[in-house]
Amino acid sequence: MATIDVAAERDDGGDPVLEVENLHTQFPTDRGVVRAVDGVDLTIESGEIVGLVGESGSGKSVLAESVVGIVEEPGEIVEGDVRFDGESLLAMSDARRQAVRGGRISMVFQDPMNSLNPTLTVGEQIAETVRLHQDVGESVSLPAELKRKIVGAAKNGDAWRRAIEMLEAVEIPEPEARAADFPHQFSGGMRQRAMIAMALSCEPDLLVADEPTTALDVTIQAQILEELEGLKDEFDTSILLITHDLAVVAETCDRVNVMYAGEIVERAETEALFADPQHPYTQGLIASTPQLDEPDRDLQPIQGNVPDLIDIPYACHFAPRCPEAERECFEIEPEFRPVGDSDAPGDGGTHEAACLRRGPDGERL
Amino acid sequence: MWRYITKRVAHAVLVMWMVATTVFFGLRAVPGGPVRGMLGQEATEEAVARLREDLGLDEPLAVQYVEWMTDLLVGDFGTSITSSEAVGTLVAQAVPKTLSIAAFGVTLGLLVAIPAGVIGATRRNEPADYAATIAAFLGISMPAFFVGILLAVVFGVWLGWFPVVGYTNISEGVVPWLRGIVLPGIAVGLPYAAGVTRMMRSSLIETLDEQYMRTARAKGVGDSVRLYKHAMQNALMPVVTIAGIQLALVLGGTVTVEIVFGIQGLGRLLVDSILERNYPVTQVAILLISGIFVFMNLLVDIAYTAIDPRVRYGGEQA
Repeated sequence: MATIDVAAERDDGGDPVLEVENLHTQFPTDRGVVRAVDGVDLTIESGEIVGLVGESGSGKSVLAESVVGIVEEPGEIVEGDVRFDGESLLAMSDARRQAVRGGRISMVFQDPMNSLNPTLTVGEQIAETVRLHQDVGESVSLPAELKRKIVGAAKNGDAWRRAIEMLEAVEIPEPEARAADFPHQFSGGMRQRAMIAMALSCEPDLLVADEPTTALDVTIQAQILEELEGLKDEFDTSILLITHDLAVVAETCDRVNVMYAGEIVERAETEALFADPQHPYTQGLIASTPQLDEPDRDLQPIQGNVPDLIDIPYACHFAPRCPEAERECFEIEPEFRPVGDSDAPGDGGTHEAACLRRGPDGERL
Repeated sequence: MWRYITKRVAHAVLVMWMVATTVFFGLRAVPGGPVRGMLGQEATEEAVARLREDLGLDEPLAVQYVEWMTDLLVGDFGTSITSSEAVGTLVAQAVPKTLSIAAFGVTLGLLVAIPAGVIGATRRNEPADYAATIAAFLGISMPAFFVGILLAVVFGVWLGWFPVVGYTNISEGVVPWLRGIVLPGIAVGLPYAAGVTRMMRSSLIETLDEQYMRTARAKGVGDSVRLYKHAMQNALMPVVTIAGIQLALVLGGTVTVEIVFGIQGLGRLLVDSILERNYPVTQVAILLISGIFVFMNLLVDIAYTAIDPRVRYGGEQA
């Protein structure tokens, strides 16, 4: 069985759960082709929490949807590959893809208020996922599902029991009673917990969390992040955490990828990135974030906006907003170069940035 | 939920009272009265005054109003001015005809509209969608009586499949009854179906775009389960509302369609009585038509408790 193979591979350690290679996801529009994801490489090792940071409109969510395989039409992946446990997701049949989706790769969305179906009980929405991906002997055919919807789901089946267990795992009080509630009877924080319960109900190998705490109060945010970390260990799940909030990244992630206008511009171990940010965009991002320990420091916003992702005519997408840009930046495609101090604690020699003006002496512009 | 239903019922009763009041005063504000029409232009002042007294029209409006209201409450609908028949009897003969036509039209309309709307939404911008859209726009732009005339000419006169005139009681057999109401039923049902189809299509398209539909996709739910289990119930909410409101179209349609097909229904009764200033009949006919409308919309409100858990559990006010 595939799941056993996975466990066996994991023991060897170090095999990436997810490899995204030169991924291009595009949306044809009347005004031209939107290159939302424009040649992204990304790796997540087993058991890691990897952050993906960037402003709104940088293509983070489309990257997430490409990984899970739910890019909305007319968007499509035109180039590159997404490999899950070494197997290409793009080459899979639709049926297999659907089986992986929600079972071994699952997703939590930004807006908990609208991401749960208002006409289905919370328990049923979790139980449905379990029925779909685990062998609990309950049919998932259309007539069976409609019957369940009309006369109510069996409350003594394995799927329902699992739903209650999951609600308990995400610390919903009185999970047995609350499972029969509809989403509108839950608060925002509880709905996001329910979403997480749903996403983790089949113990996925990879959880893609797209801004999971953005819509929540700060106090709830911290709780949810803490729970995510705890659940990661409990269910042995790797997490791709997408956010625009650097504090969230610093708090939770092992490694970070910084995304700008469809491209990754810098990646590093979390500690190294915050200690020694290299790419001018990352530096700008950190400089424009309020720091509690330096309340007097002036915030320095990055001038300008994320460009429209249609036909960007310059090589480095950040060049027009970059304080250090030279003429070459507009003309020469920046490759990743090793940056930072590889002897510094927490660097690990994996710190890279895609900027002509960074990197080893001699190569730097 | 029971609080919600009680509230809706109280609301419906209030609306009916307002309709009755408006009809009463509205009718009397229309120039002309029944007496002159009955007696002719040459009638003497004394004759007119005598008849007015007989009919109770010489009383102050307020007195007439209170009298009518109390009569209504005990179920006395009064007597027709022109034929001295009980209004209750006249109406009892007319209501089954109108209801048959309307019920046939609405059933047919919904049976056509909901699948057509679903096809339009799920095959957006494909030939089937265009066909449904064009048909719906034709339906919206053609009044019921015009559809009725077309149907009568084609299926009644040319093909001779259905009777062109008249109505057969259901007591004389289901098939003759059905044959009598098929054409008028289609005539009122088509414009109705058109409106509901448009609503079904746009509502389902909107629902399919909702974030919870993306959630369903992300957890690996298949296409048909997603459509019928996850989307349908949400998409039906606005459709049910429109289906209730559009009933006015059906009831309005029957008034003219009954005349096209020579059926002595409520609509026919209403038009004739208005022309004769036959106040008691007009009042009751309008009251009944609005009563049917209000009652159906009350059913719609109650149907909401089945469709929308937010209403059922009193979380949000619909």
